[in-house]
Amino acid sequence: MSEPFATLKNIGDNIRRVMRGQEEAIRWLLACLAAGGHVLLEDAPGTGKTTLAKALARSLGAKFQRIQFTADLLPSDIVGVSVYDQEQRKFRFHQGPVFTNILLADEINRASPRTQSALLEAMAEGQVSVEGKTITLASPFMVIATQNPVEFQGTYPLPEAQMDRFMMRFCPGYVPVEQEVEILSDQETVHPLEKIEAVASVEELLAVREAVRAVRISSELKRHITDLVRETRTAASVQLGASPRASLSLMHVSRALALLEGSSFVTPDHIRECAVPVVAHRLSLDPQARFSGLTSEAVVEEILSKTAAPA
Amino acid sequence: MGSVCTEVGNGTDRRGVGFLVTPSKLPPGLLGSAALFWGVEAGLVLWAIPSALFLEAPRFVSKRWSLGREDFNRLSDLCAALFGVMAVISYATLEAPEAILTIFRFGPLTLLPIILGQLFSERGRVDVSAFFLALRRQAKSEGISWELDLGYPFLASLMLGAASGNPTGFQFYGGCTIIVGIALWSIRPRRFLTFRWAGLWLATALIGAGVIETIQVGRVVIYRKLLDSYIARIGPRVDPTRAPTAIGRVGRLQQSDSVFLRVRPAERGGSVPELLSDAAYDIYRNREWAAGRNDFKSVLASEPVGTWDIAENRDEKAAIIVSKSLPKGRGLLSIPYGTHRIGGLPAESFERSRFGALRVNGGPSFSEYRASYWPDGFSEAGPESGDLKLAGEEKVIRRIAQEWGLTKLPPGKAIDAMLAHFSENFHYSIYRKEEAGERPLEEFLTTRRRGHCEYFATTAVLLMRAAGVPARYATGFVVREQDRYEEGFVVRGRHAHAWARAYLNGKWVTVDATPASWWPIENARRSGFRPLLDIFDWMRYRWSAWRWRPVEENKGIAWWVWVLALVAGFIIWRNFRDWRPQSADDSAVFFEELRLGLDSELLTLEAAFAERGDGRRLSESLRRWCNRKAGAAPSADAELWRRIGALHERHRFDPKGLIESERTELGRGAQRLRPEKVSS
Amino acid sequence: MDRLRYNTLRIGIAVFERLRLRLTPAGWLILGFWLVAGAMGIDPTQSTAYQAFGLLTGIWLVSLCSLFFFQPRLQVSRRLPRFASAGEPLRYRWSIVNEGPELADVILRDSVEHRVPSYELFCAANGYRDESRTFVERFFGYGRWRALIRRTAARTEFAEVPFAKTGARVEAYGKITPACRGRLELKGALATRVGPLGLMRSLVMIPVPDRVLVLPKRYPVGRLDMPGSARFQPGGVALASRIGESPEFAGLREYRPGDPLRRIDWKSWAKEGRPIVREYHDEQFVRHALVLDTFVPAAREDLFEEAVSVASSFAQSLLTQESLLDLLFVVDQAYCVTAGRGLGTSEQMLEVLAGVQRCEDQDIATLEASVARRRDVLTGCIFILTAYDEARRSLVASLEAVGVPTRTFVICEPGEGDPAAWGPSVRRLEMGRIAEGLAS
Repeated sequence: MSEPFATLKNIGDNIRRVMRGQEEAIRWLLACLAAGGHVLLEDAPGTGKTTLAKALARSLGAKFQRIQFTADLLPSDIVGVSVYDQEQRKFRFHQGPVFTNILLADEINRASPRTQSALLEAMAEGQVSVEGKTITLASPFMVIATQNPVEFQGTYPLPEAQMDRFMMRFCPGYVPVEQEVEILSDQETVHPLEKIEAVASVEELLAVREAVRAVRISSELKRHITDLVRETRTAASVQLGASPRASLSLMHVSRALALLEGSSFVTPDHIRECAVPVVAHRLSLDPQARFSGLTSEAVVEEILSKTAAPA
Repeated sequence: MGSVCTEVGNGTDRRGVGFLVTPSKLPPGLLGSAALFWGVEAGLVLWAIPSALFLEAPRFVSKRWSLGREDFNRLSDLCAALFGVMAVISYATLEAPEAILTIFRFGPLTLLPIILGQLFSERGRVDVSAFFLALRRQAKSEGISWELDLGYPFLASLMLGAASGNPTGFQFYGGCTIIVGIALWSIRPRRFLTFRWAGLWLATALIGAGVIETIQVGRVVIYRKLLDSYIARIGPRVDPTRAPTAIGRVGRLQQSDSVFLRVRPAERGGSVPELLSDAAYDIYRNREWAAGRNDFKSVLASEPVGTWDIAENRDEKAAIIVSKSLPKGRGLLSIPYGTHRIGGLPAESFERSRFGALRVNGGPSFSEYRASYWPDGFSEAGPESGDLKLAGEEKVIRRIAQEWGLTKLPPGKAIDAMLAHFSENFHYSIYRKEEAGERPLEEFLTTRRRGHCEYFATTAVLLMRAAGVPARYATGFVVREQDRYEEGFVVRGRHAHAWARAYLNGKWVTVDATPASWWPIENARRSGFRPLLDIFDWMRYRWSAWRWRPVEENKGIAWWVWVLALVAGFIIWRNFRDWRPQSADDSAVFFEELRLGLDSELLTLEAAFAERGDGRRLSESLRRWCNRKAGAAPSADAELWRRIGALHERHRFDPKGLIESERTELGRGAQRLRPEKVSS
Repeated sequence: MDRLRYNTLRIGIAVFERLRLRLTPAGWLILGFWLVAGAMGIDPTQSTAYQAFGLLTGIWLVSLCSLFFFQPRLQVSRRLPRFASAGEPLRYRWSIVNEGPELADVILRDSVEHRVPSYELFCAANGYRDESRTFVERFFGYGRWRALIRRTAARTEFAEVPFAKTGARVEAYGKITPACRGRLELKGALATRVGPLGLMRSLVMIPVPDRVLVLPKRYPVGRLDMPGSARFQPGGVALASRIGESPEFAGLREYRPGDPLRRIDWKSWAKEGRPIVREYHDEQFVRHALVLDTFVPAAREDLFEEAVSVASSFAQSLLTQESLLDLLFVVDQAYCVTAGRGLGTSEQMLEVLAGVQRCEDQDIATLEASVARRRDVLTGCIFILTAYDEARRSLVASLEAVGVPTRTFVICEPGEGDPAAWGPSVRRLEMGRIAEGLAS
């Protein structure tokens, strides 16, 4: 058990050398990585989302690809296209950027929903069908998507039904002023991203995922997870609550958090800590409530505050 | 029990998911003891004991029913029906103040169905709309409105019921203080420890006792002051309880057609006197007749209850039964001349004036009393100086007396002459208010020569006095009209009359100066509706007579109570015949098995801190709470707090659990950190 | 008679509200108990109710004394979201720093200015805005009062403050339900604490001014089949947002240097042996107009509010249907707000609608001119009118004459107006039954 714990700790420390002051974001990211899910980062431009993804990819020594989503991006730009090779008189499939270990989908809400769904389907299936042939994606495959908050113009927010594919959504946010100063000092000469090296291999990551599946969780806590998720379905102002997939994600992420702390069993604090990032983005709010300033995070926080924590 | 289930929302979810509400905060045993207290104070112990048992049964019996709004509506209707029946029975058998007290006394019984419904229901609360029809319609369309724990209002009704019972002694105060104190203690804000709160309650009880004392003392002082000021205003010599009668009072009575009295002979075929008198007066002043020196002496009661002997030991020669309503149980009786005994009138006190008027106090509001009389007897005192005095308009009276030659004739002849004058030269006219001028008697005697009976009687008395005959003025009723529905006579307002009493040859005789035409003239005035209204009057009379019948007739529960009970029982059975409340399912039980490590000592430790208001917050896990306590505790204990927090977490949530040594470490650590040892 | 009713209601309700703040439910029960015991106890010889009366009087005295022991010192601030909606609860967070003695069992409640309806409004509401449930309520005019209050008052709920020692910072959740659109001014927080006997509350007012923009109330709108096909409104690939809504495929042509490689049709190249490119026409999309009638007399303010609500409902629902929406109205001049498809969000349009006022000095010709200017680019038009007189009829007719399909919604009192004479494309919405009218 200590080996996977050490692996995660190393990756985390490595990322911290590049990212200053983003403790919580790094923690969630590692938890998601260990749990085997996809992440949606939501924040204003320039807060280091791309750096975070790159740092993670470099720490793992895994293949990394980046797609910048624009308004005229086509699905073939993501998945790949069959190109006709004139010499050989055959069609050759050029793999798109999706065939990688870590995929950074930057500003995913700038593309049209048609293009978005192409990526989301690939994430869901784990494979891509092109012209009758099915090609599986690499393993491990993790998508780190970034999104600008919806207030800005020219964006197409992801529909909530598709948000279910992401295991977590969180906002790195602006860092405190001391850290921001340190960022400036760090990047005076060369970007620290250039200097980091891989500290873990893909096989070690797979071992981490195995270890997560071995973390113990009691029936009472499983019941608590389902209770929390069921409450989102009956909460006022929620049109569509979280699905059983949310309960599964919550369980996986809490186990990953337990592993991150070196514990071998899940505690209620783990569950409640990650409830908001895991569940909030899956809720579809009543349009009336949305315009009352109610956010899905607020709904989940209210459910957490009103539900008794198992003692 | 409430901490396991999710406490989401407060009942306003429209989807109507059946989640549990916090159970009632009433301490165990409070309802039962309050019910026993009520039983003892109100004298209903036989009712109270089973009620107490039913009220406390939910603590021991775990069966519950899931009762919805419809079910509570039914129960509320049942309570309303019981309450209505009880109110009708009380009012029918008792007077107003006692009826209300009886309703309060039995009130808790009528509320039992719905409070038991709440205690045995799954939800443990009752929606307010069950009690108000207007709210029921709204609740049906919009969902749950407002839920109430009926335990506390029921306690209040038990206290009021106990108060309506025993009117003496301070044990009610003691019991009430204890029970209300426990009820308020159960809803006290969390920051108050029991000890401090109990001290405050003791102070409150003492202040309450002080308030009672102040009220008692104040009441006496105020009453005395009021009485003093009232007497000071009126004048010392006049008896405040006996008002004079102005000319016109009888006239006003004569304007009413409704039945005042019913008179019938006590024996079949017996006779009934023509006149019933209720009062007599001797001083005339300012158009008013007053009774001077009006000493009412009380008459002792004799056997059987309700009999009053006015003159000693006379045999009964004739008797009549008079039905009269006495507002507030007080008033003058209308009696024939020569009455020597009154029977069938239980009252607190009975007085007789020297003019023979009888006054009763503290009697029933309606009575049928028996007046035994000697037909030619009288029971007034002899004449005194006042009976010869003339006052006001004296000159006119003397002049007329001279004119008519009354002064020269002997008394008997003078009276006859006066009567002849009146019947020949005077006419009867109906009383009209505007008639009284500056000198009404002069007008009447000289110019107008017409008036109603009071003028005739007044002038007759004064003229006779001028002629040297002692005379008094009397008011009462004339009994002449036969009753259409009963045997006997009816006496209406119209039949009110005034006449003169003259002392002739050692006896008091009646001198009625009003021309005989007055009877037909008055009776012609009746309205067309009279026959219809008479029927109502008769029905009311029958009701009053039955209601105020003598107590000896009561041998156990009357037959009509049984009939009423049967009818009510039938209606209830019809309503509830198809009532099948659903039992609550016990899904909570299944969940109990899943929890591990419930024996952890940290749980009891946290409960002890929660008593002081320093427990864990709802959304805080115990581990976090321990860390919080560690932050606030002295360094020696901080480590221990953190350690037992971690151990407890393992014990509860790790399927592998703790090893032996860790388990005992947890127990011992929790022991060491108990609140008494830890300061604040 | 009405004056008497008004004064009685005003004073009575003010007293009742104060009592409601001060007394807990247990306090009400004890109050009733005390009054009944007092009435019964007037004659001490009949029953022992006077003893209960004395005890309860002692309870009131102690409760009143304990009111003065609550002296908190708090620093309170709110974290409000950007918007609220009329009729919907607004949830926000209180952040409390305790600078005084220990805080326990404290409840925080927002304090909103209470506007009492004026006498003129009260009389004017007679007959047509009455929510009486029973005869008694109608007789006292309480139904009218309640209807008037409901239109302007915001309902606040209390927030429980967790236990806080001196110097601690805690959070609580508050909730307000505003009743009408516009700016909601929040004055401060009322900190209350229940006394030791659990009957009366001590009240301390802490000023914390704040304001929130309240968006108009919106009704659910049924599926609106807007007639009108896409005409030649240019949009471009950038605005294509539905699968299948691709740029019009015009045909294949030879590759010309400069064509983007993505447009190459590989299959055709395979067949032909030389690069072939796919050609597209520019994308079409749909543009609707939403015309709001602001020409309402001052006495019919409620009609105007409903019109704004209906406009907001349409704005919200149409903007999810992948079309552009132009909102046209006149206040002191003609305004046009566009939203949809990345050009603007529904929030912005609703913000505008939250602040729309009636038009005082302009007349309907201004609106006609504004509509006429956009005749050529509209796919369809929705009119929301408060009356259907000649001028408005001609406004609608002017668009229909050009071939732009219109839907008209007229908001009026029940019984007013003659639907048969108005025509099939005009829908009548009755005051008080707007939700049903829109849902069908």
